[in-house]
Amino acid sequence: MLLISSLTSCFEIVERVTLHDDGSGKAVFTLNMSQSKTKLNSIMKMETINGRKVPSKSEIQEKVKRVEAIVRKVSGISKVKSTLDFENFIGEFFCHFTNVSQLNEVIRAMQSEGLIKKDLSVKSYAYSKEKKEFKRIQEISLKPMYDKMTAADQKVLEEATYTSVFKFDKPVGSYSNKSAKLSASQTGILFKAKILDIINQKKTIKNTIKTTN
Amino acid sequence: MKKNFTLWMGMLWSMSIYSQNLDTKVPPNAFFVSEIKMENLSKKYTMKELEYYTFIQREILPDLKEESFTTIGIDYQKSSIVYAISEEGTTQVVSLMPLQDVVKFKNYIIKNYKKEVYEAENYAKIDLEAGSLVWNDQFVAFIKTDRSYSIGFTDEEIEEEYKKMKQEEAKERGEVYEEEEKLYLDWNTKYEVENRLRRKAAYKMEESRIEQVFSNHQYNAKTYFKERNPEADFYAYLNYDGYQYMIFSLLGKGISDWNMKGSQYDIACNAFFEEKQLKVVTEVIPNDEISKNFLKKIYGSKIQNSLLNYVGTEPMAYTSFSSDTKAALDQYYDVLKSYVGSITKIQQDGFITQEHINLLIDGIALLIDEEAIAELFTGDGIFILDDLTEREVEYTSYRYDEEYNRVEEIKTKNEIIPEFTFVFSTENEKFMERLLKIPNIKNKGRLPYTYNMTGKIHHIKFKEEYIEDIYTAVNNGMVMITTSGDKIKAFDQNHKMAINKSDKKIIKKNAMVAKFDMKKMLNAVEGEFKTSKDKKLWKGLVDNVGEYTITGKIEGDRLVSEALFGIEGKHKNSLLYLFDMIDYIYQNEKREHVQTVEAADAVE
Repeated sequence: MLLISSLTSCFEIVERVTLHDDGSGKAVFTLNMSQSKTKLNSIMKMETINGRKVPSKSEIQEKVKRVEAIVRKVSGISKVKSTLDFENFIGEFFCHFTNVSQLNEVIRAMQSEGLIKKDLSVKSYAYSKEKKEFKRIQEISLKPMYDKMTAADQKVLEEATYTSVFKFDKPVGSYSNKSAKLSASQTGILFKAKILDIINQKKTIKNTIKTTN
Repeated sequence: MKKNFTLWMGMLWSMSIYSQNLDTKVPPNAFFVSEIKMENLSKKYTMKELEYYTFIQREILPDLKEESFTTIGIDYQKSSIVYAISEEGTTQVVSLMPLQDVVKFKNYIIKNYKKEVYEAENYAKIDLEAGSLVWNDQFVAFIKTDRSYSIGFTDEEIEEEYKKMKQEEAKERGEVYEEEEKLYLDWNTKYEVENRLRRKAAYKMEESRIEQVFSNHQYNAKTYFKERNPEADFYAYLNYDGYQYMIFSLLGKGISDWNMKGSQYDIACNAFFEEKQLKVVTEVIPNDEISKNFLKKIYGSKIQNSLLNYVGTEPMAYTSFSSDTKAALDQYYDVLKSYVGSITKIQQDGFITQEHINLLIDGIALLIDEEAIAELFTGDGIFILDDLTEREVEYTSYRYDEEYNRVEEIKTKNEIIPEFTFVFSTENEKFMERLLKIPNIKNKGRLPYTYNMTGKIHHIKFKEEYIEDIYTAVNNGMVMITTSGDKIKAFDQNHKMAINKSDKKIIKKNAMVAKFDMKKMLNAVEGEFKTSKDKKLWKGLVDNVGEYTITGKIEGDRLVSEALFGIEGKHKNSLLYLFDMIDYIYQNEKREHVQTVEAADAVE
């Protein structure tokens, strides 16, 4: 985030979760800053920008390794992997889970290690096997955090986007988020929005998805 | 309300007219004095014109709960003064504004603040969170006091205050405070008590300042007003010594002991809201012979003519400087001796004498070869922003197929890239050549660039960097660093570029010049203004902005700089231009804000 804040260009966050009927599955989180790669290339050569320290490649790699180590300790989480592409400035994080709620524990673990902000929502995912109901949750409004940001940091978010793709074994019977769209086979659901629209509550990432039996 | 009152005070202050009377309220030990001269400014606008602006009608006046500025009782025909003073660990900012109708003013204050007015013999006062608002029949003063952390308190003082605090708290609860046998104050409590003591001390200082301002005593602070130009709309004077004391005392006791006495420079500024431009003239006034010589020797030299051959006729912006590195380095040791020697702490301790300091600095001077440095960088040069161009760059993006499987795709976008040239004089071409070859020595394929040398031209090519090409060369006592292959060839082959007569004249006449073709710069970055709000903002800026030029040169003993901010479009003058632009931006923001609110409501 520190590095992103130094830019005036955009980036995209992609969240892909594949969920099986028994609640297990896999998740992939992507941060794609490729659109800003020339600026990032120049920024990476600086010590500080806007008074903030610019992390070196090795510092970033080290931090990602730390994240991996923390996530590996979370019960039920396996096959933890991450990739960092410094040519295109794309970072990805992969993991498998036996229950999607374990992703909440991942967030909690990272918060307790000081890797992400404490005021971010912990409870982000829920799944009920009985009801065949998956919930993408957003408990906390991002607006107060956004309002506290400097104008320069706010500018960075202007063109940034968020995409989520959730895939299931069975077709989706119903979903609550009207901005989301179903795939051709109806087993996938996609939501894409500008991050600023989510912050300003024009759009929400919340979604309650029920699959057919 | 409070925020807008401060804004309003600022506006009032910026709208009053020159008067001799308030000058005499400025103590001679103030470190900053400023004045807005409304006798000049009032010729440039009418109150009706001001009240016509949307942001004033919708934000300022409703917040003041007034329909016009004229009903508040302020005298807009006399000057306002703001001064800052640093004493006994406090820094005070005092704003003085003349009153036209004290009854109107008092009614306004009572209506808006609903606070009890304290009536003293010479003045009336209300306490605001930000400071004290005090007035008599002639003028109003707003006094804000900040007590710095430089002066600490003894343990006894802290314990005494802690007991008082506890007594007050107990009294509020209807109890009686029983003294603790042995006081132990943790860090937090100690901090709280110290803050209480600071507030009390600040309050005491504020009271004493009020007495001074509203006494009949008249000061003669001539120094502060001697540089005032009668035609100027705004005037400011900074006594650097006092300013430095304030900064040092803010940093804390240990550091404030290191305060350096003996002001080297004062700064005076006169600003003029002219019809087609805003003009700001700033003078750096040296206070002793060493400082005079320092300024003269550094900025008294002329720029080498051949450097002007690479400015071109259509630069987007440039900055030139002509200084004498050798003279500056020579003189610097004298300045350093005087400066270090003046540090209060050193004088008080007496452990290190001026002779020790002189010896140390002369020793450093022996080690540093000023001539060699001056040969490398003689001290004159020009940086030119030739252009801002667009370049197409590729990036990775994602699309999703009908089953929402991710498919990577390569897209393109345009980026704005600066094209610049930096050319400066040298008298040691050989050493410069060696310096320019450093990228070749270090690289050897390990770094993300390639290095080539063709003839005398060095070329560094970066991969996927913001700047892709850098060319450097040494020729005819000059070094050029540029992003332009054509320009370096011209430099290498001794070709000359034409220069506008006006640019040539100001560069040659001044020790420093900075010139910006703002319209050209804004046109080049148009693509960066993406949203409809941003596009409208861009249009408003590009249609109304003129050329900005800042020049500086030695005049007598002083370094005098003149900044001219040109305006375009239909504006009565540069003062109302500022109001026009604020109103334009306000309306543009408001339009977008309304849209956002409507859109958000629709989602819910």
